[in-house]
Amino acid sequence: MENLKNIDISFLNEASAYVWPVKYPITIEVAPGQDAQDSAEIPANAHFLCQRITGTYTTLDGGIDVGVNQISCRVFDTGKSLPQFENFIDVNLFLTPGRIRSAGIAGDPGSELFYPDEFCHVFSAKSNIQVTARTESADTNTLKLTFHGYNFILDGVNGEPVVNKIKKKFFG
Amino acid sequence: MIKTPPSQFVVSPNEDVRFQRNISLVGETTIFLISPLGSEAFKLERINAYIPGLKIDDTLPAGFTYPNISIESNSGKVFTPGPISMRTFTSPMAGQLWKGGVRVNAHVKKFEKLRIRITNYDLAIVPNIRVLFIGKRRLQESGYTYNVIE
Repeated sequence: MENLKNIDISFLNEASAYVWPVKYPITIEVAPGQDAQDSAEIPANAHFLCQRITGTYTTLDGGIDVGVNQISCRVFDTGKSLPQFENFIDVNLFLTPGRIRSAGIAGDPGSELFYPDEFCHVFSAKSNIQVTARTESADTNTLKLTFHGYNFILDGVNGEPVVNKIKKKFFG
Repeated sequence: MIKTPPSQFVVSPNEDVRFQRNISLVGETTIFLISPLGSEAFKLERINAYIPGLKIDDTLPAGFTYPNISIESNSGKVFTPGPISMRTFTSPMAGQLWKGGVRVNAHVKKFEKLRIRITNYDLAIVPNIRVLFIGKRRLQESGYTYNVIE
């Protein structure tokens, strides 16, 4: 306990000016028979450390809300040209449970449970979080995803995260 | 004065990657090989699954029960000592709570394949499941110690 009194947290105070939580939302109208794509752009002055993903989707099919997931999607990092989803993944395998009832349409009630799924990836400055979605339904469904994490502001001189410089100053 | 490095700013070189497979449980034991990333090593951390066609927020169809399965990988490492009901770890379906999958720990070296064996103890129930594999890829081959257990 005695040691805890001497912990230097001034690093955190200084670094907090250059790191803050951020959420990047993406909304896609997924029409039948074709892939739909949208992306969120990471700003030029920050890297984005994504830590969690949440989202919702509708389950329309044949004019009614069937309550069965029909959507699958891929996530791609354009900055590194890396797929985070190697193939199309059914959204109810990673959303929680994510299904929302379509307003004004007969169907089963939707759950309101919420539990973010872990999704750790660094999207570099100027890159895009690119999501491609497709549906097996005969109707257009809506997929909404939000990527939760932190923006790390970059040094304008060498392009490194500012916190690295602060860290070096404090810890060598 | 003691200075404490802030762990929240440490970013692992291993980043999340996930992929899905459609698997037919046509026999008691289903063995399949996955080579998810080709030229990259891969660490499998979590497996989730669901049965297509079930309503997410509804109750189960009359007479329906989940299959009892077991999952193991290379060298017989058992992740779910079977028989264990799929509903204990699967994705939300038919009114279940979200469970997020089962935690596992398996490593695949570059160009190697991971063997997954699923045993279905209730053959008449579910012939097809969709399985999500969640893990981490190695973006940096050097400067990072990776303990391959298997």
